Amino acid sequence: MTLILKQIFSLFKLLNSETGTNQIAAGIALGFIMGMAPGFSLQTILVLLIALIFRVQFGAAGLAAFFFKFLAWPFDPLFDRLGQVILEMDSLHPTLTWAYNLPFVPFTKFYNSVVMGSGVLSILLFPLVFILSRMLIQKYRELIVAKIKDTKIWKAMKATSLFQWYEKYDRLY
Amino acid sequence: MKNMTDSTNPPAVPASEPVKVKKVKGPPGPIRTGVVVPLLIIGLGTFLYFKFLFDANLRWVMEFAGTKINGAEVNVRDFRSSFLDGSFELSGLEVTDKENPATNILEIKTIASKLLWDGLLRGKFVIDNFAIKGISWQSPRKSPGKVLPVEPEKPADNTPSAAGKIAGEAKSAALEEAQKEFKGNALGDLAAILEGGDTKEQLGEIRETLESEKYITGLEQELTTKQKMWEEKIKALPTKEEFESIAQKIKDTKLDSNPLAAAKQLKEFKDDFNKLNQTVKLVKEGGKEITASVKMVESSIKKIDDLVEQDLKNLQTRFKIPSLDTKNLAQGLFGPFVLAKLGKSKKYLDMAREYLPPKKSAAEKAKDELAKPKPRPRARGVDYRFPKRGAYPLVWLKNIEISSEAPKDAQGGTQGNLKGKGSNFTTDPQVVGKPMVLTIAGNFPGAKIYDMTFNAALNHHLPTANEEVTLSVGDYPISQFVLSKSEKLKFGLAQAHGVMNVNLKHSEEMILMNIGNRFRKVDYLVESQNKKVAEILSSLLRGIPEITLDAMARGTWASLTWDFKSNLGEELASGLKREINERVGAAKEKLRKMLDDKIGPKRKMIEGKYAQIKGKLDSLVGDREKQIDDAKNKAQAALDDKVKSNTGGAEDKGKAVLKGLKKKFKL
Repeated sequence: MTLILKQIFSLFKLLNSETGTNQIAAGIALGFIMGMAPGFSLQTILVLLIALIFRVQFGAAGLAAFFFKFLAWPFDPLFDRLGQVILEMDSLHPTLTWAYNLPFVPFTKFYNSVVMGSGVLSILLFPLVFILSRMLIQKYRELIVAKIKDTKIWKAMKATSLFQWYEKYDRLY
Repeated sequence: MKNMTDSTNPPAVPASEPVKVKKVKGPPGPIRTGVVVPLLIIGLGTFLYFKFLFDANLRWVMEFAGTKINGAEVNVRDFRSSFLDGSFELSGLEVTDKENPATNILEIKTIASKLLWDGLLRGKFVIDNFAIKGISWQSPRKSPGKVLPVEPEKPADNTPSAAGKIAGEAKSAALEEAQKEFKGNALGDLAAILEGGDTKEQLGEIRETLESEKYITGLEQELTTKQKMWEEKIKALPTKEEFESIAQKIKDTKLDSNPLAAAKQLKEFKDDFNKLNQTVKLVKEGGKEITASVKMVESSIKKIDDLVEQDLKNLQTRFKIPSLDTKNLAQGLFGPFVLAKLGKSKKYLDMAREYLPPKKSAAEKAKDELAKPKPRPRARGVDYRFPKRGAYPLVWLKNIEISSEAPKDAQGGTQGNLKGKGSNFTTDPQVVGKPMVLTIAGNFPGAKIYDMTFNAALNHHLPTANEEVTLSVGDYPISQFVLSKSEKLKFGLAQAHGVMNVNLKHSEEMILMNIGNRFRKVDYLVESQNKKVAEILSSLLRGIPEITLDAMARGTWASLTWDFKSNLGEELASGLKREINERVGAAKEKLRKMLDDKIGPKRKMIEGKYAQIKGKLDSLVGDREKQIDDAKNKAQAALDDKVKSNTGGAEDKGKAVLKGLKKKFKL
């Protein structure tokens, strides 16, 4: 729990700083893939591993996954239809049969129409979500963070010893 | 100015001192190196745990859980597993007998198994080789095992377990019925007759209502009802007056002098006559119908004979008049023994069908599909099935090896020197496409059972599943094997040596079982309060040093047809025939007389009643037909006359006109 909270605090800190734009955007894009997938499957573990190994903002991935999980369910019929179209494609049948008979691969549940539909769609939309997230973060920093930092309240708060003490603590640890 | 320092330039550093350059950290790379090390540490820790501690921990868990389940100490000497090989070997398994802690209820020297990684990666358990070696029962322990204190019993759960349910079902109604039929006192009734006395006196009275009696009563009621119905039908037929009135009408009517009017009258007569003809047909058909109905009753009366014979047979059983039929005698002697064994075999066959299921029929599959919950199309989607190539079933024991060793000083029947092999035991035989085979051979020296072989082939991979099981025993001892027990006589084998061959085939609920038994070195057991009975039987049995028993059963579990053949039955029947044939014959004769006395009058009455009704009906139908025929003939004659008279008059008139014309023209 502490780790999760730490990651979320870290996300807000990064959001309000001037760095880590790509890390946050990549985290959101990976979270998008996790959120779109129904249930917990092998590909979810793979995405988690990617998020763990690569310098991706983990908190952003977790929050995005949580957010997109709620957003995904109305699109289930769309995923289902798309998955059915892909799984019923004659040209893909030999490849899918081969994959079905491979070890380990069937654990991804790729043979399920919703899993296949959501998986394909989320991977296709991954770059778009990444770029969009990046743009939104930059806009947020320019329009909101800069304005807040310019307010008197913020400046007053920054001048307090408590804030300075926090900044020192944050720098050291 | 010399002392002045340039505030913009850094202070000069002596040449001897090394220059400290502060490293400037570049932007972090895309890989989170900080995570790799902890991950490596976790991986290494997991590896070390599985390498050095896992086996010991699992061994402890097995001992702990086994002890809890068994209620007495369970020991595992060693357990080794290999993650890379997917194998394990358990050695020195000892399960303490809680009734006798100094011995093991079961001891296994080694259990070894090797799983295929290829299967595991697909979530399947494919065991290349599964070996259980050195099985022994009731072996002594080095030190007495610890017995756990008995916990107070929980209230019994009324829901039967799967095995219990199957065992319960195994006692099917058909087998229970057969058990009753093959009563265990086959010679008891014979002994009662052998004892002497007036067999006729042994018969009681026929107090119950017999089947034939019930049938006659029913038939009598039916006959009365039908008689009324038939009479009403005859009454409803047209009477002779109706026909005679038509004939009279034709006779009395004078034909008109006008030829056209006369022709019209004649046409009307012909129409009336045709109607009459139709009615005659109806009467005759009605008569035929009644005669056929009466004849049907005649065949019902004949059925009384069959029922009387059946009643006679039932009464013979009730009054315990023994049958000297060799088949029945063999069946009565050996039936209970065979059926007891069959009940067990059915239980195991049912279990095999449940846990190693054969291919399902299309109807069964459709039923299963209906029973499955429907997938929610939105959230769960649709699961597609692609063709499986070289797929594995969930569990597949490719090869099984079993061996057990009996101690040299083994006493009792549970310890044997056995060797067995099995192959392709699986939860999905259709995927494997091979039969499940098990072969066990060996001896039980403690029980003096030698040359035992057991073969089982479960062909559940075929479209029509079938099983074949054979068991043969070269030599096994028999002692105090009671074949017939009643108050009058206890008969059986005190001691003998047996040879047995059993073959059971089971396909589509059809069973074909052949049992061949030979008992050698037979020492008979004959116990009777009556010396005469014991002497007669003993002298007969002296001539039967060997017993053969061949039994065959065929049919479904619900309806098995048995055929027993034994030289013991044949020899006993022929020997006893001389002694008791006369008495049995007299008893049967008396029984028939009793039956005739009870049924005879009623039968005569019904036959008499039938004859009376039949005669009356025949006469009524015959009279009515005769009367109608007469009336018809009369009408026919009257019509013929009219036609003739009309035709003749017209002709004469024609001739006269022709003559007049000839005269006129002087021809």
